[in-house]
Amino acid sequence: MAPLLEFINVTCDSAEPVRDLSFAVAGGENAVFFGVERSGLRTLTQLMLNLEELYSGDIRYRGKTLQGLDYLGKLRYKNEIGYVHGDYGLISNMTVEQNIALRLDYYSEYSSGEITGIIERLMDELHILDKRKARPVELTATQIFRTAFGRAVAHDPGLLIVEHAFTGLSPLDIRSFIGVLKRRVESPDKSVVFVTYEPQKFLDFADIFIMLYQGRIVFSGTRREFLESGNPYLVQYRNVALEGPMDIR
Amino acid sequence: MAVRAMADMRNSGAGDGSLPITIGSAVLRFWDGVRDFGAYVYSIFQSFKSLRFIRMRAIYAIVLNQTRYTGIDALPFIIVIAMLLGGVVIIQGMTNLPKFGIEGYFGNLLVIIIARELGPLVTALIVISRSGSAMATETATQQWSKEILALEISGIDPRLFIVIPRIAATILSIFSLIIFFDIVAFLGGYLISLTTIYIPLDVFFENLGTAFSLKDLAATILKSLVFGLLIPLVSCYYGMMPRSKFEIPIFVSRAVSRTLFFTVLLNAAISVAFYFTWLE
Repeated sequence: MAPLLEFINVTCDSAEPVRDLSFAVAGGENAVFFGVERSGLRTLTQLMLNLEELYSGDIRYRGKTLQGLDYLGKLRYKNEIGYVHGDYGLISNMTVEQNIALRLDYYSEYSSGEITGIIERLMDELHILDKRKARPVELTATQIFRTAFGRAVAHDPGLLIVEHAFTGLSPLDIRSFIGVLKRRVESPDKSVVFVTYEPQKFLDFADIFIMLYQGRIVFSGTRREFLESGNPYLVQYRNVALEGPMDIR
Repeated sequence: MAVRAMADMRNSGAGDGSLPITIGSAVLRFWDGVRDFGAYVYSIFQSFKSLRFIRMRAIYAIVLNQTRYTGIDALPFIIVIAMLLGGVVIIQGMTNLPKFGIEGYFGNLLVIIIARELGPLVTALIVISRSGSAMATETATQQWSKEILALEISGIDPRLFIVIPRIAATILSIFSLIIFFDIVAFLGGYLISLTTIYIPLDVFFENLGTAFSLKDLAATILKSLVFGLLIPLVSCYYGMMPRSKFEIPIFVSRAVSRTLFFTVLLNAAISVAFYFTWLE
């Protein structure tokens, strides 16, 4: 069976270039991509989201290439995945309820009543039911993230990409959110890809850890390997050391 | 070489070279702008492809909201302006036309000035100052705060979600506001003019009725279509340009000034096409 997401020798010369990236994320598997700033994480995310189109190699989703998708093909792909960024994304003139319902309202065959039911369940699960009529400006950072997460999963995507989650959130608020995230990552046929500077926060969720430096994969391994490997890049990153193979200035 | 030099200047924004180079780079900049705007308009047409996959309920709410803001909320403003302008035109007409012995053309003058020109143009100017600037600012803020990117990532075409509902709402609003403007200008103007000069009501409306033609209605519909298309199109085009907070006022100001310019230009073009006798 084809992996859910697969990169085959992908090279992209953008502002933050990546070189020869190859990896695969199977359905139900969760991956963490991490590295220092300008290591290629940003381009990697843009490639996964099909926002960056000039690249060599191949990117496949459910076995189908993303190269040369036409206008509708791109929209369909983007509508199949979910994306949440720790820092932005909510539509400021919409309420929490409208933000979460956005995709369902826009694309789904559900009736308005069915959408309301789905959204209410989600808001309840995310503990933001009391904020349903609030606009983003009235929310705390945690509530904004929960709403953005709700919108990303409302249409139940096969692949969820979470970029720099928990940025600026208090540890206790993060902890209260972990349960929601856990339920998502435990779904057998759904995958979550985390792009982060703090891979240790996702130890409980991820099956594979991939580290980038200067646009290349310098480490790829399981949770256990992430914790125990003597890979010099990984050791320097884990120890937050300035000395090592990575030139940090 | 000259082309290269002009391209370099265009990129650097320099303008202190020789006159031909300065003019050349301005022409190239203008051409770049036209090409970019063309690509933007093309992308809007392209976004229609996804219309059959989306549910209109998502668009409907935006059209409704924008119509309320552009149309209904602007009504008090339109009424006051129309009444004052109508009054001024009627007073001027009734006091000056008899001096030239052409008071019989009073109705024609009202239709020419208010219905054909002032109504559509003043309405468009009010919509630009209220809604055009608001659309440009809102889109620019959404662009800067990456809300437009978030829409794109969600598989929602921002052009279909942001621009097209605003075009529909603005066309609908401008057409209705022009009709309101004309009615209020005639009626209100008549009432105001009563303080200065007496005209029997039946004479007043008989004059108007004879002067008003189907051509005037056609011109009004065309103007509301053109302005309704132009204002959101240009406002959102510039609204989608800022890459930083610093650029927001620059592009909003550009959106308003260019929309104003093209509105006056197109208003003149339509009037010439409809009313210039040698074109008929």
